[in-house]
Amino acid sequence: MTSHVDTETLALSAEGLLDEAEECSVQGHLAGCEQCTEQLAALADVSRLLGEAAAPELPPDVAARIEEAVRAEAEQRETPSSADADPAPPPPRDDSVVPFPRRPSRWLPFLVGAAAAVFVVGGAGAVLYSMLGPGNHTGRAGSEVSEQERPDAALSYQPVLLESETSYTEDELDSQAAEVLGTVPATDYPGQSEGDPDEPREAPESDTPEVPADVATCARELGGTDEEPLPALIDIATFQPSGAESAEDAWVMYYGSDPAGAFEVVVVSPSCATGDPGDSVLAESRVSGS
Amino acid sequence: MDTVQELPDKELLSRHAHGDDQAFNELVRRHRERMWAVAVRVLGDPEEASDALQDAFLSAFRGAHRFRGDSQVSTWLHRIVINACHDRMRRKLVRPAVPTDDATLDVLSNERTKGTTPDPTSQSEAAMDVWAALADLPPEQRFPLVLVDMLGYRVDEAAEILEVASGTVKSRCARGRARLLPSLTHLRNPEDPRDVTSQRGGDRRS
Repeated sequence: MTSHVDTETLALSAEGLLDEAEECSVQGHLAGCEQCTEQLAALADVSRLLGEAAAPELPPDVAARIEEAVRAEAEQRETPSSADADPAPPPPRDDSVVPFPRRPSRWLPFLVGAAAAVFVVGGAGAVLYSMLGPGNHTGRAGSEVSEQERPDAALSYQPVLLESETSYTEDELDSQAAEVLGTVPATDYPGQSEGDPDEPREAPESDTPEVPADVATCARELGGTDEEPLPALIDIATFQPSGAESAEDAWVMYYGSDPAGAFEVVVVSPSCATGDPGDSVLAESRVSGS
Repeated sequence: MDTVQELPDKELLSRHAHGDDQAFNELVRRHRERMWAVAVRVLGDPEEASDALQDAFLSAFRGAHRFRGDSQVSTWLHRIVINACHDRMRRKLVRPAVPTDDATLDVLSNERTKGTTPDPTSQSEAAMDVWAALADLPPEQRFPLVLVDMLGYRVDEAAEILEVASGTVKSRCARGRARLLPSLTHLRNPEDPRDVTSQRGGDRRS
């Protein structure tokens, strides 16, 4: 006699996802096994229980808070004083909501290896997300990572996002950029052997913090070199042009595919997301990796 | 104002992109309850859900010009909310800080008992168990299960929101249900409800 059908197979069968042969053998077993038939009924009850689990309604104070936040955002938005003075409102663009298109690159294995881990760089107060090598994963269930299935909506290609708290200046951009690159542990770099672009199709590269949508837009609009049109690292920091009195918020994009090779560093202002990306570039440089 | 309320979502979004502040407020009013329902179930924590919802609406406010006209505004908003929730979940991993799940569940249970349910005790207990079990599910299973099983979305709707194939939604739901089964099986009451709750030493009134 065949052994019992495991719960997952039963669940897949209930969704009609098994192939003909498997389905046949499951049905054959079910016909004579009360225990598995009962298990199948239990699975249907899981759906029912989920549907019955009530959750709180939207609290009025949360609704009010969101309205207030949106109002503040509206005030902040640079509404042109009058519509006719506005040269051209940003036209609806034909691109996705999803920050980055899924795009295999040689960095992917690096990002995959970095998934689900968090690393806090000490002294500099820099928080470096998602940069640990193998064996250093946080207490997340290994099975979760190994599921290799994630909703793409939340998970497209993610560059490494840093908040290094570096106050970049124009004069020292090169050395500062090199230093930031140096905080990326070398062990986390891809094995250099190959970055099989097909393999990590559903790889769990998503545990890096989500790149804010405006940063993502900007990165994509900017483009990069032909080979690596998206930055491998993005540092959310500040930048002070030479001669300027103070630093301003800036996003520092690192383009490159080889951790030991050269990186294009492009410093942009957040206006990049709303205006012409080309105009928002504050500085550019080229530095070597670690 | 009256006119704003009659406009379709897409028109509102387009007006918003051209600087009409009222338009976005109307969108928020239209969709916030539904988006909350998604967020609070995905995160299992009203505090986190509030933050995620605010993040999401602000992100939609700023990103309106990136809306593709080929999907529904509602689908687009769902996607943004799920992304915001996912972001919150990751940050929680970064700082697995403060309150434990117990605190979370207390809030949920308190909220529940405020409602007018015939049997708040056992119902909220059941809900708490469901939330606790859900919290252990990986996001890729939690998202479709929240949409399909908890909120009753069609598989193809969930697939569009999550930007995966319908078959993927089905298999993730199936695996999620299989994974939840052991933690929820005590809540089943196929024939006689009393049998089930009494397993937990239930104080059920008949």
